[in-house]
Amino acid sequence: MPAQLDVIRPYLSSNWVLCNDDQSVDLRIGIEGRSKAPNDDALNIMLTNELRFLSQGEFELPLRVFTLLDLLNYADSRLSAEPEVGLVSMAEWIVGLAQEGRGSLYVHNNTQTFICAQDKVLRTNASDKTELVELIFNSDDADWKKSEDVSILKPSLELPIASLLWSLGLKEHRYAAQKWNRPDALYRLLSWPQLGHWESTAPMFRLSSLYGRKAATVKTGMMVSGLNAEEVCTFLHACSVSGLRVNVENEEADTVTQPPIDASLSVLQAFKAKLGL
Amino acid sequence: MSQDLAEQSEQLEALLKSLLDEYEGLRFVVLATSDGFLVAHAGAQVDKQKMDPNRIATMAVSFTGLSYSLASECEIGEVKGASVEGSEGLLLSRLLFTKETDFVLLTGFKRSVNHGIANWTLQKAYDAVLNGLNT
Amino acid sequence: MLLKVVFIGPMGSGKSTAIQTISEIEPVKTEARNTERFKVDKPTTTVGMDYGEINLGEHGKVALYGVPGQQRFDFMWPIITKGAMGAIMLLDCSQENCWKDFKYFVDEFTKFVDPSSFIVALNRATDSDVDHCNQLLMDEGLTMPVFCSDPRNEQDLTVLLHVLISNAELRFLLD
Repeated sequence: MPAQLDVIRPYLSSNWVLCNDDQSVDLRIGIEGRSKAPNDDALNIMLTNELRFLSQGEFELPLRVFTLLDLLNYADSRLSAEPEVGLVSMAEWIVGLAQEGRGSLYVHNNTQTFICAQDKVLRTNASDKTELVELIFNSDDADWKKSEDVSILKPSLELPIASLLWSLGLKEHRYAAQKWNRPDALYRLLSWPQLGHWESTAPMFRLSSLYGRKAATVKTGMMVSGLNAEEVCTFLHACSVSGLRVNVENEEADTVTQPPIDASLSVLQAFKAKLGL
Repeated sequence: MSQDLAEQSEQLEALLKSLLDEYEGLRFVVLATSDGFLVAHAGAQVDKQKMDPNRIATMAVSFTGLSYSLASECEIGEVKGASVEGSEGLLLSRLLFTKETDFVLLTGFKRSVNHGIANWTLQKAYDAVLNGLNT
Repeated sequence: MLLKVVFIGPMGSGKSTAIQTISEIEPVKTEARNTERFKVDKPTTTVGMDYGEINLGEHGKVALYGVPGQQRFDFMWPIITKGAMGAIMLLDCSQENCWKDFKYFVDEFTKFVDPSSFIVALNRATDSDVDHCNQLLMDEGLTMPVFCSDPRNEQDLTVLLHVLISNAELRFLLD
């Protein structure tokens, strides 16, 4: 390892130094399933030899010299990045407003756009859903002031709140990655998103099939969808905020028996092509 | 099923019973609306305990419906009826049209009855039932 | 190769219409005059089955089957659903007893079709209907895709078929 480190040193963004086990460290590299997570604040990266699709932040065994270079530079970017603790989800904030049930009115400081979330509908004077989603996504809860002036409540738009939250949830990648990317957690979807009616992509169909069928990890989601961890987490987050229940379960077992299917992947591909998917 | 038909079913049942008495080898007769409701039957319950006339009526309707679709796909012209040949007997069915409702008439024959006799008997039963429905 | 998709649901839920909408051949129908117009006001009803096709060229075809929806035709159900890659259950939410029918069809057809290959398509439905349907499924311990879907709308039906394909693909990936 010291020799490898010397080879890549000119290409590293920081001056990394190998430490002993008993020293305080910034980064600890372990092997998934064999190494214990440390009890300190060190960034912990586990190497794996089981993944079929590696996402950013995951590295494969054996650790080759240029993979080590990528790993250290990735770790550097993580360690020097702004702390993520202050991240908030505006989608979750809207969920909270809707759950208040009183139809409280909130006005955006700069644009005077108002929102009034109650039960399953959100009323607003924004001109369309896309504009509103952008505005909410780019603001934080401090930008919205509660108003008692119901006289301004002349909404031009009434939106189904689940659909709005779905769109908003899909934009909150960073928050989703922070909240949902727990390597050992098994997630299960208790009801399906309204794909087709809500904005959707082909991998979302696969993810819905997976998490609707069984409790599975983010990693399994990555494998079946070809998405990276952050995108899978974003899907789970969007499901959760739009009112579909996402359970965290303990066992990765099929909830249903799976009779053999009399088809081949190529036929299914041909079927998809026929449908223009 | 309409009120009129329900009221008529007793008379029709008597008619079907008389057909059983009249035609040698005729085991049972079932009359159903073309959407699968039993109107009347004779012999279908007595012969074998397991036979449920309601179920047979509905099955006869599906069978006849499929036979007509099959005939149409195969372009064999106007359909007279459909038949099932078993080791213990023969089933013949036919669609029967009236102004108000369409019906399916299913007849079951004993093993001893050949196709010619069975078809002749079905025609007689068809005429009698059609007459009964129109009066 | 033949892929088989079955449309199920009570009388008048739109099974024949759905097949008519997406079939590339003129559907084969077994229609008879409907004597239950007091229940569902339509002139004819399916008594045998509906059949349509989507052609996949050298890869084969997708066979689309519709079952007769009345309970008295239940003997046809296992015959038609045998070997199906999935079932699409149509339900017209404006019909009286639609949730009773829903429960009945889920109970009956999960005997013949793997629940993970099931899709529920609600016609004339509101968001509340979708929520109610999901709740009923949860009460049964089942998770199924529930969509608002108009059987006359090809786009809506394409989404349903996409879900069936995703479910089937997943089996290959996980097995």
